[in-house]
Amino acid sequence: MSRSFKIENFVSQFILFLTALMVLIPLFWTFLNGFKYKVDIISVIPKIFFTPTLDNFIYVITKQAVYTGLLNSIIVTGISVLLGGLLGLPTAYALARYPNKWTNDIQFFVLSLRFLPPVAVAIPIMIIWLKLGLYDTRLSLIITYLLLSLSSTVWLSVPAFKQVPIEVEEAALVDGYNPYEIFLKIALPVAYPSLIGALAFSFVLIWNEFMIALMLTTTDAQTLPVVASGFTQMGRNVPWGILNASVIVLSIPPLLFLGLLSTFLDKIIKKSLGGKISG
Amino acid sequence: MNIKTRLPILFIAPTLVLLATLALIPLVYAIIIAFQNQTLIKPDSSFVGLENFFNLFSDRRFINSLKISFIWELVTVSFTMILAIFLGILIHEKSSPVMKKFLTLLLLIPVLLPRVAAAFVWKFALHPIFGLFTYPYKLITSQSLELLSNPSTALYTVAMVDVWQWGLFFAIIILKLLETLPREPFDAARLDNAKTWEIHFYISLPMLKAPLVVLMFVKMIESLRSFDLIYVITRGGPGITTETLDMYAFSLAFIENGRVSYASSMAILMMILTAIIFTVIWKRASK
Amino acid sequence: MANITFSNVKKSFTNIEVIKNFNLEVNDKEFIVLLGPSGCGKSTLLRMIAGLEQISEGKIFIDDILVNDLLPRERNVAMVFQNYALYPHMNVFDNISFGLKRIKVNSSEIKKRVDEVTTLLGIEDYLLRNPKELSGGQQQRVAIARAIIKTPKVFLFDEPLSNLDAKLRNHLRTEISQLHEKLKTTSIYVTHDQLEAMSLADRIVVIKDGYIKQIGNPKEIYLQPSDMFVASFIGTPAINFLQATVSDSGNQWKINSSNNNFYIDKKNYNLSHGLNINLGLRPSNINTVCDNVDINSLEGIVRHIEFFGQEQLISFEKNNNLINALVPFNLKISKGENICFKIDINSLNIFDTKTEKNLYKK
Repeated sequence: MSRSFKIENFVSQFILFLTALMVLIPLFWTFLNGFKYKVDIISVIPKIFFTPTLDNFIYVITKQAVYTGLLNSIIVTGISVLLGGLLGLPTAYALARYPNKWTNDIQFFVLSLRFLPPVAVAIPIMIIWLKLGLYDTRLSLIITYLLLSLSSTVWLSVPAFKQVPIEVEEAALVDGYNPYEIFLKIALPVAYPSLIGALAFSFVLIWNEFMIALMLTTTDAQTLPVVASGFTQMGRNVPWGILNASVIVLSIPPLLFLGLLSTFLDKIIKKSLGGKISG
Repeated sequence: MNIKTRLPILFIAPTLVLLATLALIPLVYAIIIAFQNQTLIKPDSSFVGLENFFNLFSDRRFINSLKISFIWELVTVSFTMILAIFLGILIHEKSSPVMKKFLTLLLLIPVLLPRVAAAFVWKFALHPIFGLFTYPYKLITSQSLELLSNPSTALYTVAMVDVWQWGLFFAIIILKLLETLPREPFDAARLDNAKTWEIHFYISLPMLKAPLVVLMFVKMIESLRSFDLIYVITRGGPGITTETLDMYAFSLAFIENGRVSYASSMAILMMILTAIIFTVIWKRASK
Repeated sequence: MANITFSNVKKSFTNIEVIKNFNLEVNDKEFIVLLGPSGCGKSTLLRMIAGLEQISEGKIFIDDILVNDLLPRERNVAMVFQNYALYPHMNVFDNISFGLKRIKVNSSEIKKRVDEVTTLLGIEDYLLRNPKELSGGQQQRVAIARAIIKTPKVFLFDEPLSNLDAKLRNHLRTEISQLHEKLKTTSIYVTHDQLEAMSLADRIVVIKDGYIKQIGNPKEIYLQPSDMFVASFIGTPAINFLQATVSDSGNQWKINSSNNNFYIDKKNYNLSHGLNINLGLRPSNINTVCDNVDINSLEGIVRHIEFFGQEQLISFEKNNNLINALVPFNLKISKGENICFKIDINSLNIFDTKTEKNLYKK
């Protein structure tokens, strides 16, 4: 009995090990190649030892188009998330704490927005911005992305506000705070960790967004994902080293939130589902 | 009007107005465009009624994109769920606490990556000449690795990247779901003659039916957004073997004469189709 | 023959030793209760028998077979849990028959056996219901049915009545007792409720901090607790402790507890002159009123009276000690009055103050 157990154990550990490798190896390979000269990259036998160079990264950070892409991504994502939070958090709070006959419908509406295929919305929006003369501007991107940031912020923040113990808010009410103060001084600080998670999720969502940015920009307002994909379309002359480097730069901001989002994920699953299953 | 009724209006109205505007105006406009013959090249356009929609049904490329999208949905959703359940259970049963923490962080990375980054990582690794996997493959099988340029394997290769991002992420979700389950029914099952995989098949998975259905639903919707991956990795090729609906619509609107009306009609159809299919599935799953 | 042997069993969780060198022989058909406060390790012991917890050191034998390396399903034991542990998504029939289905018993045999056990427990009408449609008592009966149907060698009970209300607890306790009469399966029952222990057990094992404090039948444990912990844990209302000193008095010991003197025969106790002791007196043994203070008596001022129906609990104060006495309901007494009780010497328990051990001669 213990012999087949040992085999089962060994196979399991092996599979887990393989899984980890399937993530680590391609990523590591991309990382490695960001530091290679082009001649080292395009060799048939994969090179693990090579002379490293920072040229690719320097190019990425200084070349006009890439630098602009980075800047645009930062500005557009940052402002969209900020505006989404500014408008979305109060909305989520009101939905959580002031239920009325429309609350459920409103939440359903917000949720259903996530079901929209981007392409259906992107085509008419593109034409509208074209007609308004706002095509290829950061402004048009920010406004368009508000749809994403608002809906995801509201969707994720409602449960966060619901988890603030109502007694704390009621105590504050008795203490003479008005409802606006309760929102600002009680609900927000108490729900803070989960709200940060929701905003981080929004950030990653918009930072990674590609299709809409591709459709609404050409040169001025391109975000980094668009710039990076531009490199891949250069046929024979794809600058692989630079491409690897720009992918790395592109991926760093979302990955910075890894720890935060992991904890956030934990919270959502354990708190919202933990009670319902054992029933 | 006292504060109690004022606050919700003040807090909700701006967002609602904004969302409604941002969502409904384009939608309405998309429907209008679909009934026209607008292109980005010619400045004027006129109404053509249902002509675009009729043309769709005799468009071979459209039918193909329907087929490709359908296969894509099927393959990515099913493989994601199967991989996620298998890995989630495996990690839950067989890994040490340290390994669990490590895998929890590691397996979240692919889904956090921008789609284009993930697309590129694999396009590079599978490059027919200097891809990382190409050389060992050639050594072992003395054939070149041409997954992405082979019409019969291209779609599934891109699907693999999608499952790489989502399947591993879902595995962690399932792992955490398993951890929320109460311990005692499992103790009872271990005494009830159930082997490990039987315990999961008869107890944990049925107990997790609701969240699993939700996950599958989420993945079905996410899979419709395959554009990013396909655009970067294959652009719809080789030929049109990886051209999904959104890839075709994009192609029409941007690359081929800017036929926005035709593309819009396709997008509208796609939206109606998905709305109907999802409502049906949702209703059946809710009971 | 389903006897159980624990041989030098130890259990540690990371660096904390929870079970320390546990040795016990359980006889076939015996009903053993593991009794102790929360955290004493009794549930851990039960789980080690079941195989749900690994044994750090030592051996466990069931029916003379070493089970250390056997999987839970190979040990032929069944367990009833505190919160029922029913499969929430299955109905009662499937819950009970789950174990048999896994070893491919045929369906007519399954139906027959399910009918037998559900009739035995009075739940035959609930076969198609889901656990959440049942009350706590019904759910626990389903759990017991699930255990019985496997005809195991050993039943393990992990505080099965703790989640039920008092009335139901009494009811089910009797049912469990009757079941044991009928089935005669070796049973190990874990609880922190000494009343359950006393009423169900053939023998009680009192456990504290992973150590066995005493093993004996309920009568022994009650009348001759091995130390102060056991004495205070068993019996409701709790035993009274009085500090006292011993002095030699010819062929008797004189025990002095601040102005009250007790004389006991030397042959029953291991005492010595000048020894500091704690006298243990159960409230039910303090019930005879005397008119004036004499030898072998206690007196004090009544501070509190509680009415229990047939009895009253009188708390009287003597030298800043509050002593409880259980007297008949018709004794007329009120707060603030002086009261004097005659003590039956034979009911005294004498404990060494330092070692806390009972000093009776066996």
